[in-house]
Amino acid sequence: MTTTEKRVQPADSGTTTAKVRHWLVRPIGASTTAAVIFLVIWQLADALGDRLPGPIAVTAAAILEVQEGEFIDNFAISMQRFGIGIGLSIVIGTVLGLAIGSSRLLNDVLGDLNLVGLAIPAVIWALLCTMWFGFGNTAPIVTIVLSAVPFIAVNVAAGARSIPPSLQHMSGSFAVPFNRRLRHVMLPAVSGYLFAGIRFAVMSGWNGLLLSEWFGASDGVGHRARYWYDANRMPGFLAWIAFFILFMVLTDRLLLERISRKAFRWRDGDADAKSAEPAKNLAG
Amino acid sequence: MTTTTLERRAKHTRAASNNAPRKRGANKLQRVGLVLVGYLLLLGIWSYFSTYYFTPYILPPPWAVAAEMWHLLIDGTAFVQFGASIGKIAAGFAIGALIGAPIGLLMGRSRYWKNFFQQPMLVLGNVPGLTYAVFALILFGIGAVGPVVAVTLVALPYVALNVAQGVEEVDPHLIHMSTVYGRSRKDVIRSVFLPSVMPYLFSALRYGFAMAWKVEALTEVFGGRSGIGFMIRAEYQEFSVTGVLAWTGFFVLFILLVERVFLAQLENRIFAWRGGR
Amino acid sequence: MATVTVDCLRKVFATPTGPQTVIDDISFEVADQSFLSLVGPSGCGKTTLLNIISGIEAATSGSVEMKENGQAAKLAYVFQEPRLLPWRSVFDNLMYVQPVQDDAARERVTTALERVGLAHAAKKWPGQLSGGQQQRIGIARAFSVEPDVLLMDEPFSHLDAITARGLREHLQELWAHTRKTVIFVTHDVSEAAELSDRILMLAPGGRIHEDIQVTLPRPRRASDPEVAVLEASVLRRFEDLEAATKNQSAQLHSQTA
Repeated sequence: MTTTEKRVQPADSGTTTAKVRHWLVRPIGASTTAAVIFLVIWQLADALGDRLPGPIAVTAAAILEVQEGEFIDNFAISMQRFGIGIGLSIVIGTVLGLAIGSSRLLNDVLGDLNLVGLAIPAVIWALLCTMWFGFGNTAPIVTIVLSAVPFIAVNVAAGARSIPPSLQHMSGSFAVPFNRRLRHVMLPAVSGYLFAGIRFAVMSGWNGLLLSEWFGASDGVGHRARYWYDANRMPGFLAWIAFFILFMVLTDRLLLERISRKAFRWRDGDADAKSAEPAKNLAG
Repeated sequence: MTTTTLERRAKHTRAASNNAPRKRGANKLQRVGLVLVGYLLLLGIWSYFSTYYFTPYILPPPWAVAAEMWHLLIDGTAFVQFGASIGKIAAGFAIGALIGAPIGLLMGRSRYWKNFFQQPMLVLGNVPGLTYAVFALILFGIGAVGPVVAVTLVALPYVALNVAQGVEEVDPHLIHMSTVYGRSRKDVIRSVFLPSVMPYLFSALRYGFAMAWKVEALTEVFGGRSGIGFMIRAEYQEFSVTGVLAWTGFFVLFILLVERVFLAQLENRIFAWRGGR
Repeated sequence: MATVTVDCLRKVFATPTGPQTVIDDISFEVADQSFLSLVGPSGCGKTTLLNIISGIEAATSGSVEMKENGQAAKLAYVFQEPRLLPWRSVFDNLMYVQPVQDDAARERVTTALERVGLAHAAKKWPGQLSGGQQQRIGIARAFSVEPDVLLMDEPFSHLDAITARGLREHLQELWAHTRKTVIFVTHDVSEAAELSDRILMLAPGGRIHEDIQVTLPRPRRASDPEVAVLEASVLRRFEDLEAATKNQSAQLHSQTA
């Protein structure tokens, strides 16, 4: 593949159409094409049907929402809840995960419960918490914790199990002190899994927060989305949905993926070597 | 997704090392006992709080919930509503897999299509469930179509991304070997590609299914006319914590049944060749 | 009469730093029923040469011809790793490569498994066998298609020394039985000395450095003194080759400096 590209490039790069065509087949070009096609279909759906406002109307509503300050206010309130909830989840989930992962007994006792926790939909927690705690900050925070903890626990447990016993033996035979063992053996083994767990927890917790605010809060992003929905003003509602998705994608892409890649980078060297091999064959 | 596969691999090696026939029965018995201890612990804490701290109106005791579940089982409501949900999930998942698998195949085979679909699929996988639920309600109104479409949209990225990864990880050595021995394209697809992609497809089934359940229930909460989500919504509107917990209980039982019995059996059958390792 | 004729073969890879010649104008002919070894240090293009002969890779120029009584010869390949399908039983792995899946093929597969002493493992999965057993399955697979020409790419290099020795003796027996035309790639000089009728030494840069005919009587063993003498003499020529390459590169350096 590389060779054919090289052959094409010098001959054709003079004309602009060739330049555009060349850009289109690159990763960024392909993603952009996909995004543009999506937006066009969306706008067409707006033009043809009457239920769904198109991207232009939604963008206008989003800009209005930012200008009026509703965006900042509600996001600030929700982020506070989200931060507290995820922070609590990380602490509880890590402790629980280490317990499940390092002890056979606790694994048998708590493992199944954790599975059940993973399976219960956030909407059930949101409804129960609304009934239990009423409107306010408690219901959203508890909902986040209940829907996020199992993901962290399951991943940290996998990390704790992944510490090879041979490494423990090796450390033992060289009489490596405990704190150094913790830093160089246990933490690197668990941290990657913890970050992967946090990724899932953030996704699940964010969903829980939205639902909880939708059903049981008088402020926050979830409530604001419901406000537009109840008013039957779809552009405003979709603007908030767009904010949610954007927020999720940005946190996932910019923050969590980078952190987890860094935490797992010792493993990637292997994957690179593996993927490089067929590429080499293709070049010939 | 990466961590989940890793974890399953770890589980497999453990299972393999456990295969020594001696003490196996005793171990299993002990394990079941400990699992029961876990459930009893949960029920104990629950009973304690419901008796001493909360009124039954806020947190009913386990036996009240059990009685409600029994009642729902006896009059058949549980079966009818579960059947409704399962039907929608199966339909949605089948459609999602039918669309997702070819996309995954394309992504695994061609770099252009991988770049084309990668971002949309990741975004689709990141969308909060609330979005699907409300969209389904807006676009399709109250009824069965909304939940089916929501499940399709949830299943699609799981299947596509997993199949893509599976296709990419097909061992080039085995393809090479097949070429040397002059195997046809059909043979290679049947004997090399499909078995390599199988574990990834299975993982998509397992985790996609868990996600699909959640979104399906959520969609029914918003705009269903039947199914467990709809029932939970109805109980919530009557402010019956007992009712919500009873349906949650069914949900848990069903998930455990699927996970521990159905998927485990299926996995044992399809991946028997891995047991030898 | 299965003969292999390699004529003026060249292979050039395009690399980021410019074209790199891996095989540089190689010609040789492999006689019917003979055992030819290609020996050389790693990176001298042995595997590439074998891949071109098998038709998986295309040559930049030159040609390879394989004829069995005027028709295209049937090929089999034994790889460095066993390359078995882990999800198929041993028997099905061998059936997988049969052109026609009839009773005759089943017969051939059973015979091939018996010959490598693994008939009892037919129903097992590859993952249940040891590395040496898996490689024997790989060899049985090659023989089961009754090829005219057998290509082998360092088939014993991943095994421990004792297992490898056993398999080499086994291979000699099989070969004595069937007298296939074999092209055997290895970096292990003693292995080549034990097995071959003829050894082609390749030099880095993809040229034939030396062509050695081996006339020792068969069956041979690695511990035979004649084999050891031959191995020493081939090794000595390798040392000469190394010294020559060093000299050459030193000269190149002094020229550029």
